Amino acid sequence: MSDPFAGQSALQAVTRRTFLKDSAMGLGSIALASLIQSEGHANGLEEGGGVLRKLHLPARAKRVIFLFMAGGPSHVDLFDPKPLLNEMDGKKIPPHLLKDHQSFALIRGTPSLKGSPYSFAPRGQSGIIMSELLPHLATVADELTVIRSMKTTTNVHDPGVNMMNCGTQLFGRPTLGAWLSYGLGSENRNLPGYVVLTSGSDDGQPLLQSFWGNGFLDSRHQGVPFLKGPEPVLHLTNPKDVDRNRRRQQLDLINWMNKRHHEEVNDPEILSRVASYEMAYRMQASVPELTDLSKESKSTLSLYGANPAKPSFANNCLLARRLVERGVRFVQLYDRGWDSHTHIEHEHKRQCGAADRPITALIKDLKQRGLLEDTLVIWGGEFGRTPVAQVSGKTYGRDHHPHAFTMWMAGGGTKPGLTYGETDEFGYHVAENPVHVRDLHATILHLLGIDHHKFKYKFKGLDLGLTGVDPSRVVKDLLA
Amino acid sequence: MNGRILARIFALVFSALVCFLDAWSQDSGRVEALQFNRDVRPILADHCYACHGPDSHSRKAKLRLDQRESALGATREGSAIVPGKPGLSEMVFRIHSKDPDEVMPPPELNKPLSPVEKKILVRWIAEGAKYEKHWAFEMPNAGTLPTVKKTDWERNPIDRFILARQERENTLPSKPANRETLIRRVTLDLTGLPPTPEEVDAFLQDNKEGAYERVVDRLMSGTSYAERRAQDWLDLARYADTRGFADDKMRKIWPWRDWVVRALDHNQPFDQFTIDQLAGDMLPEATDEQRLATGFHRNAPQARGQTYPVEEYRIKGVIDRVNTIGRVWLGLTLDCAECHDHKFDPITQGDYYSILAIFNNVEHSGSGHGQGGPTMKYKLPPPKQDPANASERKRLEEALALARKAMPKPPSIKDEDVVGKWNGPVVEADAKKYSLTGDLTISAKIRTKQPVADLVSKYDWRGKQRGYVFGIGGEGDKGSVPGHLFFWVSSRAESFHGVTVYGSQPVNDGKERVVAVEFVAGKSVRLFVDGIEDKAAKTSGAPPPFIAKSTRPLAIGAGYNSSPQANAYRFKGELSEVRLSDQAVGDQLTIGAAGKQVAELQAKLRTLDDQKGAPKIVDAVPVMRERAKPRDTFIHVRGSFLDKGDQVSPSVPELFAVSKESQPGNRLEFARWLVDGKNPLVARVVVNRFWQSYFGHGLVRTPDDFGAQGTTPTHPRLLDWLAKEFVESGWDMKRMHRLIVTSATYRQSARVPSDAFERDPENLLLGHMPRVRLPAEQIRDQALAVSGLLVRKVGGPPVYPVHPANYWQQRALPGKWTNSQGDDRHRRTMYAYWRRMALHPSLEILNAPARDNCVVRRDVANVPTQALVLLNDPIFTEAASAFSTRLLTEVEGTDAQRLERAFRLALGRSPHPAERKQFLSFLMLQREQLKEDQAWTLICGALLNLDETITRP
Repeated sequence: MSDPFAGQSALQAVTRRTFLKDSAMGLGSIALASLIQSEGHANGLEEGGGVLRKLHLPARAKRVIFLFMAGGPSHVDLFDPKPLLNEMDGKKIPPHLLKDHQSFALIRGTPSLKGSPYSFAPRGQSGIIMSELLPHLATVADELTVIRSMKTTTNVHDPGVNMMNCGTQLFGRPTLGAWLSYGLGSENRNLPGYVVLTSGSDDGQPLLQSFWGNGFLDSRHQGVPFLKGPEPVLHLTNPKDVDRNRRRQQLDLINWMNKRHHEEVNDPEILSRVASYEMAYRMQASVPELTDLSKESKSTLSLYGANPAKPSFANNCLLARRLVERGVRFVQLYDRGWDSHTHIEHEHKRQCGAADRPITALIKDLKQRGLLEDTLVIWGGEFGRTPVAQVSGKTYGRDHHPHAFTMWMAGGGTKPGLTYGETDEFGYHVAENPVHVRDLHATILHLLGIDHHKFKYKFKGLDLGLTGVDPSRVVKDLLA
Repeated sequence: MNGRILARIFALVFSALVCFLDAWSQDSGRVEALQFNRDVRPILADHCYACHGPDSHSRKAKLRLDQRESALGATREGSAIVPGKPGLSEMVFRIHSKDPDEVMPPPELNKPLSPVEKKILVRWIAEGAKYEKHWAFEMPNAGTLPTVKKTDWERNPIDRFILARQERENTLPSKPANRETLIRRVTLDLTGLPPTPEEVDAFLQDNKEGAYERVVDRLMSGTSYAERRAQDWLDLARYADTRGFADDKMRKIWPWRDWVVRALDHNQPFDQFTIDQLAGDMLPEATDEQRLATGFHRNAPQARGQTYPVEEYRIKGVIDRVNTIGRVWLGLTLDCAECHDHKFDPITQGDYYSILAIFNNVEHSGSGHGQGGPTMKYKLPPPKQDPANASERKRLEEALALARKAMPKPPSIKDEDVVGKWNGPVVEADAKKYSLTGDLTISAKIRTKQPVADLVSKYDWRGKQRGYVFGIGGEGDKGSVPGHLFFWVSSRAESFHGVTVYGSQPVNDGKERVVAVEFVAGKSVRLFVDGIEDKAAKTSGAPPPFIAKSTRPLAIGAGYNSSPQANAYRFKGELSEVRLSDQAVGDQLTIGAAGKQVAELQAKLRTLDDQKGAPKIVDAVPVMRERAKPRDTFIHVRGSFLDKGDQVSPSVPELFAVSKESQPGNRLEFARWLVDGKNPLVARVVVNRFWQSYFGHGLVRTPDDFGAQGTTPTHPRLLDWLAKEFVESGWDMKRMHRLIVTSATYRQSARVPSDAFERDPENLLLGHMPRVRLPAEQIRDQALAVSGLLVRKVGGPPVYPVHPANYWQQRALPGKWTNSQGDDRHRRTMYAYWRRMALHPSLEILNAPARDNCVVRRDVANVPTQALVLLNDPIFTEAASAFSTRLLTEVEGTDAQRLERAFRLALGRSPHPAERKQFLSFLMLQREQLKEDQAWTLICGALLNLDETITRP
């Protein structure tokens, strides 16, 4: 069997083309308007995997791993040291910072500045600065492109995640992974093209189905969230008394009937159903093989700190490598537990403790396998955390901070060893080279060979894309 | 400047050539004039209106191309359009210019015109640049019915329009679908459930004129019809059981969902249906039902976390209401005007907030824990759902216990009439003994808690050795009730021909009971408990004239399951005084009038039991309620609620030409305005969705956008005719649905003609009936119906179909899903708990929307995860297994007969010989290693997975 959708799309493409040709010569006014409307738009025209038969630009990256630190990591504790902040620790926030500023999410009243308790140092040849919370990442500093001047639009979690994923706070829009699946298709006919892995504490912020939603795009572009436990994809396992051989026999019967029915009613959708049942059957073998980490060498497992028997962020990082290795286009890892409103010292230590080593291992592992070159790794959360303290009793934490925060990328055509952008002396606002989430999206698409101005889908009369009508730019400085 | 003159000369020459080059107009030799609405407006709208359209703020060069006066008016460069003179029209020059500073649209817009589009614009100017008001803003005009050449096809006026267009394009309709397909199609469409084999037979045998129409009328008169139609409305109304956003907790708005079913069941006219839902609370002397109806707009997601800014999220709710009105009633993308004037349609930002002003006066807070917004206590309508009244129940039970105590000891069969007596479980050695063939009576004293056990058995149905059997729980058979008495008797050993009777009350309550059955050959069968005849027992089949001889020895306190030994259905507990008589001596067994009181009390308790479940009053059902003093409403500059612009007062957009005096001032007036029959959009938009629910697409393929960027109707006159018919019928929804499904168009075969892929790949001409994959709910409902599991209870609190364990926890979502047990496990899927932020994953995979906003059309993808759901989700494996049990118990006969039944249940047709052969050899193969029911379960699973099964034919 070829690609499960190939039967349908190829047919559609052929008939569509024939139709276009014929309508110019033969059919006269049939839907002239709708034809012209869709000409030049990618909506229905698909061939092979994605709608972009030809990329707009040479692609530097072919696939993406997005390490999403859900809740929002603290930039001033990890990547963006602010001596003045430490110096003025405990002083009320200078009023000028509060100009042009949404209210805080949870802080009430006028908060005080809070310095970082961690020591920072330049790492690697490039001298990228990181705090002591990230000792492992320090060893691959020269692979990273750090953006210290990220900006987003909201200080609320789910709209913030929407913003980072979809370029808008609204629900009902396609996520980055869905856009890529739509545009570029999948390279593996046995696995979904867009996979979501989750880890972290169960009392963190909820993960909503919109986080991997397809929005208005066809729902085959929706992300498939892998579950913890023995059945990573829902209902992957056959019932007790049905072994693989018996399932094969049953599928043969189903396919035989479907093909027979196709002869009777001539509806190509039936062939597409046959193909999707075949892919389901292949997934039943390929997914358990994929998620079986015990096949990895001891040294690899220990590089990541992964334990096949126990779900963890480390396992997910290793799984991410296995996924991209198999050609999965977009892998998003949600690591919960970064929303440190209280006890931030304890919580960020815990989160970094669990994430630092596996992330580093992922980069090393991708590199050593030659995958880093065309795999784009992105790290960040929906926003940063306030340089002011959110005090609660004797402990403190930091509130949501959309005005300035840090993200980093690695591989996939980014410029290694670069630190880009500056925040002000308190890490509060962006001081230089702002990178809005929209700019990040434009840059990601660019690396994948897509011009964000041209990659649109007609919906409700509008040409909608990942980047909207607000200005967005490819940040060329970030490119290798 | 020279370049410019040259370019203009080029344009002039070019436009002269256009008429000759214009390939698409050479349609069968005649040149059809361009139509602005169909051919030109879409181009202008898509490429020009963004800067030269209705939005005054972004308008460039003071030029509007959506209005003729402006387009023809002189500007610095001359006139954009000079009718009849493309060469003098600035527009023609600009669209052909190679100069990046001059070319239109400007390159940075990324909206270049294609050569075909340029040609159309030039030709349109050459033909006089005629404008038309946008078709959807003119009142519907069906004109006269078109004439057609083929006169033997039409069944109602719908067909005339469809055929006329087909004839114009030189094509023909398909032949009618066969009758099996037709009844399956219309039953699935109208009720969301498949037809039963009996319904199919009745239709196939009805050769009288109007048989199909009679089926349609039968289907439309049932509540299943209302449930199916309600399902579409729930998508539009974004009905869900939770509030949305991260918090996403439950709210009790299901009584509103049940209101929709009732309203559609009564065929409430659409105008009233609209008024009740948008403003029922404001009607004079509003009834509870009318207030409940306003839950429609309380379905808007509502944030409840303390972190959400109060006003921002209150406003979000109001905006959702306005946008939903736009999509559901007006077919307009009003939402575009939330932040700026609409770029394509004549809706200003002021218009938007003027509608918002109408919906801005509900007491409703967007934040804070506790109650957010008005609610009502809703008393459920009395008939079926009257709940168990706890005190009444207690009273009856106490009275029953007293009456029992006072009752005389129940008699058993007199010694002189007895042919056998036993005091406990035993199996007779001689199989010939007790092979009674005529009347018989059995009595026994029992004390047990077992749900299933045989008392007296000479019956092995799986071993094809039937005779008679008396016991509890019917050997686990589907029709039986665990713990209740049962009696089967058959006149044939190998297949069932006889009568079954199931008792109406439990006898396994651990108390001593004297139970009995009397069988009068060819006449009757009666059950007795404690000397009282069980008059509510359910009997099916006819008492046979004699009883078959079974080779199984008579077993007391045990039965047979395809085995010579009586090692099944063993009785546990106290069993004594088992007596068998070869006469009908039931009258000896009653205590007569002494039992009357007990029988009456039992009947009362039964009635109470039937009604238990639903609470009588539902607290805090979200509804609308108007504030005493309306809020002041302002334009939100760039959509920001913090940035207040001009104050606005309630009104509808100017395009509707409503005079100042008649402007609706509140929700009620607005609702009445929507359905006053003078609105050009509402009826069209609604009938278009009706059309869509049968043909997969509407006549307008953008059901929520009838504006300039929407698609034009494939059959504009038909759309208008339907709209007019709808309004003139008094907004009679059932009438419109009936018209559509009784048309010849609807009754066509679904086979795709081989030339269709080239001629009309999107089936715009409806040359055949499109096949439509069933909605998620119907895929499950059908599986339940086919397997006999479906429980047809209407309405009530949401139910919880089987759900993957720990699924919510993995996503850190609060709450816990507990799978429903009993009836609620197998209710129709529209009653499933609908969680916005985590819909039941199988429904999500099968493309059901989470309903976080209004959905006008579901997208139907075809993906492998769907195959995994249908093959392995316990919902479907449970159905396959029940389906198999149903076949094995219901059908006595050969494998081929069982297969026949299976096909007819799942597909509404018999298997073709080749199919029969394929399935039977599959069955043989599986039998080599599997038990009978396992092998059949695989067959049933395959049937439930077929494309044919899950597709409306």
